[in-house]
Amino acid sequence: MIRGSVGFGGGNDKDDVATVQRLLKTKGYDPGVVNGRSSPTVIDAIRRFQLQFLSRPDGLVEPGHRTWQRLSSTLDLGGGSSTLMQWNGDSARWPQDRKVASLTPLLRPKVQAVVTALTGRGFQPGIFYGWRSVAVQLELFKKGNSKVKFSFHNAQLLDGTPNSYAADIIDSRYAWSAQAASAGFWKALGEEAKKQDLFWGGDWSGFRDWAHVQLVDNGDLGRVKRESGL
Amino acid sequence: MTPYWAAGWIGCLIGLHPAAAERVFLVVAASSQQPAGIAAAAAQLAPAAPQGLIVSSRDCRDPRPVFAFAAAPVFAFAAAIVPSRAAAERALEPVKRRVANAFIKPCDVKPGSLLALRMNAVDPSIARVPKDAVNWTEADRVSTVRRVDAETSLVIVRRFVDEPNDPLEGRRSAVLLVSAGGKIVTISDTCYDPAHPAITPDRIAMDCVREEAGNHLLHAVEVTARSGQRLLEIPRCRMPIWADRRSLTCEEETVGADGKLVLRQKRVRIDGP
Repeated sequence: MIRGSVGFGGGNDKDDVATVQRLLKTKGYDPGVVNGRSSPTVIDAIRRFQLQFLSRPDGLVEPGHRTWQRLSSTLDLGGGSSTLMQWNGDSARWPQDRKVASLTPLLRPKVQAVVTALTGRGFQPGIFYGWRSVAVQLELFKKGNSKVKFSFHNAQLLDGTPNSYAADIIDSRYAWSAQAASAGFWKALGEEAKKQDLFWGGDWSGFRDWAHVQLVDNGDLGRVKRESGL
Repeated sequence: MTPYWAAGWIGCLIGLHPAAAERVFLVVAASSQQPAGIAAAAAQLAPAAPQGLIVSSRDCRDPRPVFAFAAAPVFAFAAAIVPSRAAAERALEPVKRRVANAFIKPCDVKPGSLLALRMNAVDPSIARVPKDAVNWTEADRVSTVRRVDAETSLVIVRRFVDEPNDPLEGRRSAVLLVSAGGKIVTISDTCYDPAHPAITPDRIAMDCVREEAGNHLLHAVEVTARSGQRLLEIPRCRMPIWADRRSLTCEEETVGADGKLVLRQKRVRIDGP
């Protein structure tokens, strides 16, 4: 929620601006660093966002008004229609399009490009995990099935909407078996991920995560956690 | 080459500090219930007390509480550890010039403990863990000893390394093998969650976390001679059990497209010394 207006001519309370900046980022509109300060970059990002649904964008977000409603709505899947989705159940078993939709907007086209390229190379790639909830992550941690309590897979919007910064991609024939390496799938995944400027878990020599690609460096984990409101 | 965390104490350990009860006097210059807190204090005090050691209250078995908080472990930076009160009084004097409230505590050292081995309960590198680290727990900051049999223990040295883009935020653990007579050998520089140690008179096998695969962690079995020579690493296997002196069984790990872990026993022959 924001208490006052943000952007061109707005009240620009620091917390409100930060909220709008975070939401713009999740929608794929870069407002610069999330610092709670309104700037021409922030206003430009608001205007570009408004161009989706306003003929005369004004660069202003007001509580309860249309821009805020669009900005704070659950995931926009494209085509201009906002769709409420159910994010419950085992996210590893969601259909592929929902897994893609659970990724942060800047990651979606990159993962889709990786999957398309791998298909073109004769593989049968699929996303095993896009987003997974913090609750699931903690359960994995408690059971000794994960080394982390918060991962890039757990990133979310402030309202809890999935906003994963990572995806696990496997070949449906090989999964994590030895054939995935011998058939060249992991190598191809690493190559295609790097073409998209993604970080690949196969490069982590002491603790490999072959199927894993992520949008940002591991050093950004704290920032992503904070921006998730966690 | 001797790793930095082992330097300095191996020589004095061998033969000199067997796992027997001993009474020592700790010259305590700082204490904290938080491993991060004592590591930070020790980093400040260590230049003036290079022989200092971070000690856990659990390594003393005095009939009365050694430190103020008996229930939870308390960590202390001991600027000196000496065998008599007179020696402690002498050691305390210069420490008091830097730390006015430094004090002396007698301690009956638990045999086989880190203190008995003169090893830090919290590695000095822990002082450098970034304050905004996300996934570090208190347990990740504390070194431990695990007894394997009557004459053998494993020391897990938990430490921090500053490496860019590290998926574990610099969490590392090394494993040292302590044999009869206090002989210490590093058997693994980096083994996440060492578990299921299995020993023979001349070899040790254990599993270490090596990979993540969906909802599971995958392991490798590290097989090492007691001399410290690595003999074999068996990828994607856990829970080693020696079948005989030259072969072991472990549970081979596979994760399918459904995300389920399948374990299958396999037998591996180990050549070498």
